Amino acid sequence: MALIEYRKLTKLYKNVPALNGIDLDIPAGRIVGLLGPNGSGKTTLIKLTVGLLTPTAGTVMIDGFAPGPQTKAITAYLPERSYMSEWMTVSAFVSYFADFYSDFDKNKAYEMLSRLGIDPKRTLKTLSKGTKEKVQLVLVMSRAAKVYFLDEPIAGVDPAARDYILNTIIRNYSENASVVISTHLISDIENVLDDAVFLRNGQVILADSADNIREKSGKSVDMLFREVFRC
Amino acid sequence: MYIPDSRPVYVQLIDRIYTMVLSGQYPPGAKLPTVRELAELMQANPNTVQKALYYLEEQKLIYTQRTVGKFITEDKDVIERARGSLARAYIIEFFQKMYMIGIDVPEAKKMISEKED
Amino acid sequence: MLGKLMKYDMKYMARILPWLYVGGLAFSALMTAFILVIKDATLLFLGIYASYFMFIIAVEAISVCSSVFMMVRIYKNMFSDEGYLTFTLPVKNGDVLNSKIFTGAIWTFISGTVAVVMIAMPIAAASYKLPKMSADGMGFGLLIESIIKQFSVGLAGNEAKLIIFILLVIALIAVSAFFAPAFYSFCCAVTHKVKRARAFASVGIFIGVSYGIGLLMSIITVIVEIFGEYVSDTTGVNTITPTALIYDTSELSAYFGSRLNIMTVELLIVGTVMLTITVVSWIVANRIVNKKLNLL
Repeated sequence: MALIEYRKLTKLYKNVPALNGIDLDIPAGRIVGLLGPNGSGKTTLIKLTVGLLTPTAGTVMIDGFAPGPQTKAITAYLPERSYMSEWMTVSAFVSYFADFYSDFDKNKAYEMLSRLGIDPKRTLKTLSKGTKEKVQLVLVMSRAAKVYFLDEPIAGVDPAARDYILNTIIRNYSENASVVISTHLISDIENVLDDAVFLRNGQVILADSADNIREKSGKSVDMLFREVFRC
Repeated sequence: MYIPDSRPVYVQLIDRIYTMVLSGQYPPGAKLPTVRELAELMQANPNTVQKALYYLEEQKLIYTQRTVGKFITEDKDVIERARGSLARAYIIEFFQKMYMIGIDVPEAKKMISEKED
Repeated sequence: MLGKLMKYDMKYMARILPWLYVGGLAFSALMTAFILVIKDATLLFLGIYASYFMFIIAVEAISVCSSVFMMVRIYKNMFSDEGYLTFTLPVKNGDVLNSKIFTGAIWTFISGTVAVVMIAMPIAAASYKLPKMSADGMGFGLLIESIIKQFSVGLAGNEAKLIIFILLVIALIAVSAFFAPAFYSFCCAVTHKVKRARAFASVGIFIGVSYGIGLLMSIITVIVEIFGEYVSDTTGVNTITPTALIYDTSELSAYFGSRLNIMTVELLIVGTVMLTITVVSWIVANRIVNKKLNLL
């Protein structure tokens, strides 16, 4: 049984399929790239897995369970948007996470924050957009979850921070956990990916290891992507 | 123009490690960083690093000492052979590139001698 | 986990509301002190007259603010971007909702208590100060005693009904504390799939339906009143003379006693409607949040 199993997962919005019968397995210990253009269903797939959406049909199982308190305890989610209340301080958030997640490492979080030069006593309202994103990333990566879902983690971030994020993902790697990164900036992360899943119009059109893709097509994943999704 | 390397990542890593060994960054007998450290260093997936190290071990460039770690071979022959074959590959690549811009092998050789002066 | 959620919800409301309470109570204390200290009767009445409007606004403000903050908390924490964090916490979605409703009710209780204290303080001071409240012009303590005695005389035989009435009032207060958060949560949950303007939709439905209910209650009350005129106790009196209000509490209480039946019925109707809406809202909101969550 794979860590995450999608079986005929479908999500309709007023009869328009955002996801159309997804069949996919994500084993443990893999760094997976969820790749596709805007509107291909990447975020919908992630939100269905973390429990923010309910499926129209089909199932998603995380470690054998449907999305619920059990799966949320072992899933770490970094959305594209800011989900923190503006009036709380960074350290208040660290305590909030520590309070609800038993796998949260407070020391690690503070260490990462200091490395990034973020003062924990500041309220979120006073932080820039980029800094807020870094705070969210720190909170997510300080968890020892079984699966991490990072939705466009490097899109709005400067190159140095991009490197830091990738290094954090690599450093956090464990054979028992998986990381799913949804992005359209493929060349930046392709060396870090184990597997690549191409998504178009809510369907999986390719799911293979990055090495296989390169060997079979003679192209990098980024180059294949540009070819497949040429406008 | 940036032309991305479309070879499998583990192949690229093997290349990079060979270069590091041959340039003296990892001299014979040196201890290799852990898989995780290498992955971070090269910004690559730890699984891929593992794969590269597997092939490097098969090619006898590195060996594993259980519970201690991985080390560069002390066998000078292996290293010199690797240096030789990488050099030959570079030379072929050079002549291919020169040919692509209309300079054949003899002319290319002439340019090299002139450059040496 | 519900406890943990409640801790944070309570903390949120505790950011602003206690300051309002302090302000309101301080205002009330000032008025009370003013009433107790001023010797000149005309100045006293002028002072009370001048400030009672502000006073009413202060009480209203506390009640409105606590409702508004509760609604903001419910909407923001569950159905805006913050919901992405709240609903990925390792808790049952229903617990998130229940925590909001419970803390909303608790703060409503607290606000209500503060409002009562705010009103009681100056009134107590005024009762103490104003002369000739009873025919003998007695002191405050004895005055209350005589009121109670006269009241009991007028209500003799109606003790059971009175107790029922008081219990119903308490029950109604309890239900109404839960009504607002439960019903507003329902409005949010029902409109949350709509991406645009769903905040306005939820508030709109809430206010609209609340007004509708208020209107309905008023109509029902009027109907019951009219109907009740023909069913009230004949032993009692169904009109009171103006003097009775100030000088003869026994007549006042007799009037009150005769109306007990009608008022109890009105209370029951209002209470039942409120309770039904509260319970149904709670159940439906729970179901939506647990099984049909679609946070866009």
